[in-house]
Amino acid sequence: MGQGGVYVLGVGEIPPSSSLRDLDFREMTFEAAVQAYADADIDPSEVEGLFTAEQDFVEGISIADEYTPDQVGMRLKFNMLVAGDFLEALFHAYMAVRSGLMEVVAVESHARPSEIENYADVLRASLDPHCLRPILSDPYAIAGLDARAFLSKTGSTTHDLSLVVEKNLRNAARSGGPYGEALSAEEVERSPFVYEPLRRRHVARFSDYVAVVVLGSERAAKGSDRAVEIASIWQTGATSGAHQWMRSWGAMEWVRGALERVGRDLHGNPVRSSDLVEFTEFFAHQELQFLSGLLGSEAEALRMLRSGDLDLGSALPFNPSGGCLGNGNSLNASGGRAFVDAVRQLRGEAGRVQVKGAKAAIVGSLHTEISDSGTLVFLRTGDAT
Amino acid sequence: MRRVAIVGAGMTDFRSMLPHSSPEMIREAVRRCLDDVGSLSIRYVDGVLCASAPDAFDGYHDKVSIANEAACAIGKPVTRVFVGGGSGVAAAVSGWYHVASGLFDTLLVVAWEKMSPPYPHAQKLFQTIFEPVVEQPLGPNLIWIFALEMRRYMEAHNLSKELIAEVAVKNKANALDHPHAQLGARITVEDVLKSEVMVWPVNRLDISPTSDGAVAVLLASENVARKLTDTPVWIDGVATCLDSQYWTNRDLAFPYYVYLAAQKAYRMAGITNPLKEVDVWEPYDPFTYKELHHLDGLLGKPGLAPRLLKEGQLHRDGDHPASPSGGLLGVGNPIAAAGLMKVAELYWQLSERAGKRQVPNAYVGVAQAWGDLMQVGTVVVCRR
Repeated sequence: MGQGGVYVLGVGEIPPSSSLRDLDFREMTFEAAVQAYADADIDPSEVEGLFTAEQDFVEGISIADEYTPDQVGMRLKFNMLVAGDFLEALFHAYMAVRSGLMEVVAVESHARPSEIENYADVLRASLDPHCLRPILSDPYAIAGLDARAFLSKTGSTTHDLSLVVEKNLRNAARSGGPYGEALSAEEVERSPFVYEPLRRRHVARFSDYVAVVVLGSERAAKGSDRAVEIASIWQTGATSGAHQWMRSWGAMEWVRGALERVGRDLHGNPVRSSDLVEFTEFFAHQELQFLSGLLGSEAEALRMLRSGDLDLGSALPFNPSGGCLGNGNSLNASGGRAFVDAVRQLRGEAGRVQVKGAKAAIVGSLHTEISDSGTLVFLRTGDAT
Repeated sequence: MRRVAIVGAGMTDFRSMLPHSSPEMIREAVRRCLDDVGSLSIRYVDGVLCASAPDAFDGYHDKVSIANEAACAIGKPVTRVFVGGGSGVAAAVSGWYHVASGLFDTLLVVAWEKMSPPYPHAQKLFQTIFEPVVEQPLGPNLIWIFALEMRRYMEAHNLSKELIAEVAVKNKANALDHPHAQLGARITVEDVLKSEVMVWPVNRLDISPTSDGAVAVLLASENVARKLTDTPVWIDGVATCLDSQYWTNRDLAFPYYVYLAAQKAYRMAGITNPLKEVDVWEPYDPFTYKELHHLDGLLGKPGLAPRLLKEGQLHRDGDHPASPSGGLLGVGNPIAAAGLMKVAELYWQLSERAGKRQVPNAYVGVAQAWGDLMQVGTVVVCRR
């Protein structure tokens, strides 16, 4: 028993919205769980454990896992809170299934940024209290520094960042994302600087969201023609601590480490096998940083963007869902939104943003908006193996 | 299943107002742990798993960022788990599946807590674990709800305060032999009964202290473990179980969630009669009655643990030694680190390196922790 394949049996979500005022987080989570169990065609009693991605300060409550079991039918079962993004909880769930500890588990993450009055203060509290907090009233300034380093290092311009925004908002307008619209790069360029060189439209707006995903072992997935395989997943930590002194500015070093590991698992380059990429780009430059990490070349990433090779219907559609720029920043649930969108792509259920013949996808997420650590997943359908 | 072993452990002193920051505590625990494995270089560690809860103690949001550099985890996989007071043993559970999955050959598990800085007292921060609409406005604290549970437990099994106080006497005496203990002492039952009443029936000496401290253990796959040490201690059973948030809706006399977690862990480890097959117990003892309450859950027999205590069987030289380390009551209670300290104690006991604390002929041990709103049980079964 153990160390076999791990599969996505079902997904459920409350689609991203600028404000879900009619539902509290328990109701949101309940509805997403009901959907996920129905999608997996299982009874909640068959689910053996729950992995949640939550953070105390975001929840506004200490030891936040206390409040998760009831509404997802997980009372008196295995539970583990992973303090990070949804994909980090997925990483844990994947290992638990692969080890043989459990056959079927659920992964949950929710976010209600519309109810957080002082999010900048919350995020600022993740930084070193002596050196950084006193000088950074808004921690997104770190993203501005990082964007500046990226532009300087690559010779790219803010127009490139605006092209990312134009593409993702266009995709979101087709996928139904809450911030989708037809907006040209030139119009994006007219929005004011907020964290120079980042302009207002280079920054993802917030959205409320919840995702519940059911994972199962090879045995649990047997007979399902819709199960999507998690062929490999890896998480890599940051290049620096809370003080950011040693941070590798302008690049996502973690992508290279994660990609190497995923490539080793797959005995090949996952990027070449992928039909699409979903990534949590909280800021426009992060999409290019992530792609540069995947391709091992910033120049190639910029070339693909400028030539439209990341658009729907092109060589490597990047964020066909619209990403975080088009769907919103759902904090630690953001990776869940990207993951659910990728699963739907591989099942051929992505509607107007469907990538034709999609059989394999890369999904990536950052630990938080301003961290330089993250998680990389490679998904594929049965006939992609 | 791929077997997973503990191959090394290290910890800081547990103290109130320890003059070290959280990163310094983590670094010291990690260094001692790696030194314990023949000065192993951190380069040979595949990843780091952290546990600490809640965030408020350190005043950090997302406090994994405190640990990644202190644990020398830059560029390695590093994540953090927590389930309140159950976090330390939950980290061992999570560490187990990291290695058992085949993704990791070595994993450093680090737990820490810095409880001293909150002003005026860490207890104030515990108010933020309660349900915010109905419970928080009542201004509850943990001692109130544990007093309710202790009272119910005493009522269910007709227990005297004198008997329960013997847990404090035993554990604080055991802690005198622990080099990192905060509150090792020779006290009497009378001392416990005469100590200040916090919330009846809980007296001050029924309660573990607030503490600062960190613990690290190194886990390894079977092949690697046999290269690193001659005395690996195998983690053969793991489980967690979380009950409903509605703690007011269950009978507080028996920790059913601990019972269920234990049963799963025993099944995995092939244990059918824990009373006969387990040689050493490290149940979670933040309060005197909790050691008995949790042992009842681990043994699956309500009311059995107080009888064993009465017969002297829970003492280090008894048939069923419980908390030979000194437990939270004696060694200290830096929340997540306290649970991992119990796992480290099993490692030292089962590899026969527990010094004066050594339980003779210890082959199988169980460590357990508990937390959230009196709702989670986390259990590991270890074997020599």
